[in-house]
Amino acid sequence: MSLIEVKNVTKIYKQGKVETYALRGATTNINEGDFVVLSGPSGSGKSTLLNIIGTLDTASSGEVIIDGNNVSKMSKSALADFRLNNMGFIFQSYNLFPVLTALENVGLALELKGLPKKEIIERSQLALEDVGLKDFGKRKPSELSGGQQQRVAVARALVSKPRLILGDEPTANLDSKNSESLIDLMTSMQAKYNATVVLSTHDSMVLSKAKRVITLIDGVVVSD
Amino acid sequence: MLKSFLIIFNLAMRSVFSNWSKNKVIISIIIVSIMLIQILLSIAEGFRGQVKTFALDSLIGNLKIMNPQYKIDNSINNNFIISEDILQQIADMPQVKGVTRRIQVPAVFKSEREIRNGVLVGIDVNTERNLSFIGKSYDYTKFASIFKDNGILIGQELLEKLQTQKSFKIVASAQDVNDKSIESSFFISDTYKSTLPNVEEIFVFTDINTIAKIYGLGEAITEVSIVLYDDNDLATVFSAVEKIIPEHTKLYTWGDLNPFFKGWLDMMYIVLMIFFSVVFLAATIPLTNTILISVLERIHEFGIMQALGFRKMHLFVFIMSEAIIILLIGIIIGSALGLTISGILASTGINISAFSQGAANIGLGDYIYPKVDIVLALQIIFAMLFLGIIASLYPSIRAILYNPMQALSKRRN
Repeated sequence: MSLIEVKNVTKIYKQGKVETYALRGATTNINEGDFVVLSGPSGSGKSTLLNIIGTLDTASSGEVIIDGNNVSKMSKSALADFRLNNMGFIFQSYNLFPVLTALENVGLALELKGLPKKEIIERSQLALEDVGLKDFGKRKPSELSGGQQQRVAVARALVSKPRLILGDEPTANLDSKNSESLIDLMTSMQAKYNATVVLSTHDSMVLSKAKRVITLIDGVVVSD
Repeated sequence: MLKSFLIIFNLAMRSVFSNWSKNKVIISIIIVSIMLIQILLSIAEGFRGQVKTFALDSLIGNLKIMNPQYKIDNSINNNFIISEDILQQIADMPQVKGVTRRIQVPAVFKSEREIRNGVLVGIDVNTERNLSFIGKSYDYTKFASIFKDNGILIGQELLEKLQTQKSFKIVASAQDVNDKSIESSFFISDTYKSTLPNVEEIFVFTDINTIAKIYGLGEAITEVSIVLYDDNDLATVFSAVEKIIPEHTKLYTWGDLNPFFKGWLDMMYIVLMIFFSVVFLAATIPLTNTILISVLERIHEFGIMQALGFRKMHLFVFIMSEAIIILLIGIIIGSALGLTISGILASTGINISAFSQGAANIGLGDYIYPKVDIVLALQIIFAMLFLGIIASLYPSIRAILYNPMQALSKRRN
């Protein structure tokens, strides 16, 4: 069953009078529980497609339907709530809050949901344990290695048990050992949390581990 | 809705303290600004208060009942009679600190060597206490004894100008109620000193009954001075007293009788308000700029927050909450420091003896004593908070204009 339907999505970036096509009628479906990798060379539109699926960006035309909801027609507030309740993000540069501890970073979305403090701490601690950082909760991001920071980002993405986890080049800033470890972790977490994972990457190691690869070139899906 | 805002406020509180190294600069600026404003304001208030006290203490009071002709021609012919009952009614008003009767007679004082113009003032020894400069600065318990047998209390300056001394006699020439020139001999019982040299040179005091007898006034007087606890009650007391004063008399405010000081104080108030308005406006622009820089530095961070599910309204509340928390910390600490320093200066005074020659003309002595006015201090606090909130609006709106992707694409600081 399709969790995500991408229908003829076009994205045009305008700079003055110049229009740049990042996506040209991209169409694809992603099923619930899939581990999908969006691949392609730089400028192929894989990150743009991922951001549009993640509702961080909007399509110039076309539709994206997630779990029956046409996100292209949702208000900004509804999209924020949708992200809060359904999505987890892992970014290339980790994007942790430098002033918060690892535990606080993980629990931030839960705080916004208004969960009791005790539950936030318990769930955040469990998520950190899942990513192998049980004893690192009190450390600030600056006190963690790149690999550890990305694991905290994974824990943050998982903690609210989202249906969809999106990762934009999550291994780009990691060495090969940490990259492999991260993808193994995400694979096991996907199984544990029964989430759908969509990553964009051109890392061959990640591509080799993916069950499904969607390739884009010049904003068009060329293979699936 | 309220719950989510409380959560955001809580997050903002943590963010302020987590970003302490950056925020302490803004907080320090606010602390210093508000502290200086509070100190300056208390000095200005003390200054105004002292000038006003001088204006009121110079035998005027907050209100005065007089024969309206006396204001034009201060001859004792322009007198009036007021009953004890009316005086008691006025004294019983809760806003009234005291009421006293006086007779002021323009006179020429002659010693063996010199002649000087002045005013012979008959005071009620029982009620003058704490109501004028003489009632405050001289031991009122001595009045009855020093005024016995035509005894007078004379200013040190006048004593020197007349080249005479205590226990000597001087002659006062003045007209009685029948316009007959009367020369009376008075015995200098004691001298008084005042920080106000003009006063020392002019006023000579004795018992009101002595003056009434010498100049044929009988029960009549030339003025009733009314002193209030708080000049803000002036209008209330004025309308109440106006209804009960005798016919052919008129009630005057201290501003009517001393328009120079009234105008001077009003002008000073306007200048102060303009000064503080300019200071506030001048503070708002850099404050907006500082908050804007702080916000723009964190656009990437706000992008992450949006990705995590923060609504734009959450972000707006978050940034505004941060600004308000920073402002409150700065304003509370700054005000506490400013008011404490003002309180200390209020007890020690600020020495202005280098300028006291000129300052004496407007009622100041060698020291200015700052005055802490809690209502004004609170007004400053709320004005600063209000302006801070206004200053934070633009940066907050700027921050939420970015969509998540635009915000995330901004370089992290």
